[in-house]
Amino acid sequence: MDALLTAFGLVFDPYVILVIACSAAFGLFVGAVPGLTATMATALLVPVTFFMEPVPAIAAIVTATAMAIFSGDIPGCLVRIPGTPASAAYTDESYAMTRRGMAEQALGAGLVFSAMGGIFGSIVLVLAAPSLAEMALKFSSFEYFWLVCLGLTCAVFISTGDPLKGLISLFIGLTVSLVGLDNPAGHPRLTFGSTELMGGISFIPAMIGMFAVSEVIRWAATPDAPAFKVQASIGNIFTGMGRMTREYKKPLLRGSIVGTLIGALPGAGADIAAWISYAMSKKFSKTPEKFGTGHPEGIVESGASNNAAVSGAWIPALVFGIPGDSITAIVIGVLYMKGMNPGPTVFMNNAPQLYAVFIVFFIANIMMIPFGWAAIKAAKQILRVPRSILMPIILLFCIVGAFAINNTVFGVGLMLAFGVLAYFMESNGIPVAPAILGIVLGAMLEDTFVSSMIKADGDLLGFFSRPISATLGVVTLLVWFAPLMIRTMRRWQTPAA
Amino acid sequence: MRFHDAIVGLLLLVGAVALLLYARGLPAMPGQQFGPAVFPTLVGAGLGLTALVLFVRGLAAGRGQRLVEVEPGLFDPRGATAVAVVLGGGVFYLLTSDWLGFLIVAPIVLLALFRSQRIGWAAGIAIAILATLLIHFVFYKLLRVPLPWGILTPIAW
Repeated sequence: MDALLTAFGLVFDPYVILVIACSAAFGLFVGAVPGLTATMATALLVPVTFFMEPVPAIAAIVTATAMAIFSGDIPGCLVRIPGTPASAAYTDESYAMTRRGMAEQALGAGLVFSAMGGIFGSIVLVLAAPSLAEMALKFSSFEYFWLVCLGLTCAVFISTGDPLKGLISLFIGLTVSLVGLDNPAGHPRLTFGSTELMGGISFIPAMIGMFAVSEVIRWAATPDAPAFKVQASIGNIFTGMGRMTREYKKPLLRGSIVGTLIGALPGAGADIAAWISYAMSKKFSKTPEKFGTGHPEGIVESGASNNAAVSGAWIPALVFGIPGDSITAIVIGVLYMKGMNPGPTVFMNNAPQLYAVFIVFFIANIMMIPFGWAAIKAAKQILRVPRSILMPIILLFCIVGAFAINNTVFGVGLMLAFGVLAYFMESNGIPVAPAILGIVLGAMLEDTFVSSMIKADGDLLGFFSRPISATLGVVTLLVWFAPLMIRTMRRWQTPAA
Repeated sequence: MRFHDAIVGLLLLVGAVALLLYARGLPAMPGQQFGPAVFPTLVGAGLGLTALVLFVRGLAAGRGQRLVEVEPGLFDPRGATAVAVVLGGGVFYLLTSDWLGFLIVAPIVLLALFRSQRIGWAAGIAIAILATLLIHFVFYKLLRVPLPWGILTPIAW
């Protein structure tokens, strides 16, 4: 109880509230500009939060991402270009509503149900995380090894259309994680005599490169991108929201649950949650034929889903230190920098800060309504900001941000190198998310593997000697080999049929 | 820029072999079965295996595919210049910021980027200076990041 009171004190501090308000505006802006994603908002925020206390730093990221995932709906609805990938699933639907003169309903549904989904995800986070943490306290290196494996496996199989390229991306990330002294043997690896590389690849410059610089390069490579012209006029966005809430109770609940679960799965974030929820909504709807013609049902379900995923992704990130999506992958780096090392012990060592983070989740999702309303009102102006001015300034911001972490230009070099790497990976169909998880989790994977091997004296069966670790191990192996088994079974069945 | 899958596979395979050879050179830990080479060897093997599959699959499936596909934007002189200015601007900052100082290098990089987007000189210069001063204020004054002054050190504020 004391911790909770301290937490309220930590959040309701004028400085923290100011930080939350600023990051809300920042998140709404970044989300609403097509080509700038919620992950990019986080990557750009990190250098700034680097200099803050833990609570405002995390609050800034929580608020900005929640806002950005909502405001990605705005350009999708008005000009049929999603602001962030998380809105892509229902962009056509909401644009169809706009063409039928229902822009305010589409935007209102996006806003109100985003907030509701976000609040649902936050409730699950608050309820589930501490009890999971209690269980996780009993975990040894064996369980953590399997958890990391399971997380990386999910990242490869869920987030990508081509698991082979997902795996390649993962191995690229793991290779990056090898660099430096930070391994069980404490031996410098892949440093090539550079003292800068002794400490490993600095995480933040690498992130900024992969999520922001690669976008700037892609933007530069596509000249003559069309300007956005908003024709629709927007009335009162809150009209009819009460009726919609009653009418679409079930889709709302289903979207929130599915979103939270998918968010909590490592490697899959808000964008995948939205796609799956939109598909589910159509499947379970009484009027599936209306989908695609400007029908709000799918927007309610997937809009709630992607914001629920934002909160859900924090569950494994806080409890196990395993990121639920690329945003929480960055967050984990920030938590380590702030001395709030993620893992079950954070619930004991940093309880007040943690409760404060939980409170911020609710504040951010409630604040989304007035701030989001303002963003919708300002949408025409936001979409008019020319990217030819915005992108160069973002690049300069990236450079300064990468410099600020260690105050050396070495970070700037790293950032550029990773920007080029991510650009080439994405142009060749190799997704970036598994690589990020590989970079973040590589050290943990090696650590748990080597210490487990030492404990088991080199016997691989040791990984199955404890009940929870055996279960996790079997599940992981099943996920690895299920595609193979299904294919073999199909081959057996085909000649018989 | 999209390369044929077989080329990507081959490049990664070379990288994986290099990593494996490097791992072989890592010392063993005295009295310890699992030294610093274990994990790099596993990662190298995984990368090599997946790269090999990609290479073979690319050869089998991608017969009609071009070896390199370049975005149309990169053939356009404007797109090519823009990409060159983005990367060149970063490298230019990297090489000169300690010597010339942030307040000189940043507006140059910004102006080059603006010009590559056909923004007029007057507007470009004005926005470049304003944005530089704003970022300088936020990072140098508010966040206390020691952005380099370079040759402007005598007038540092």
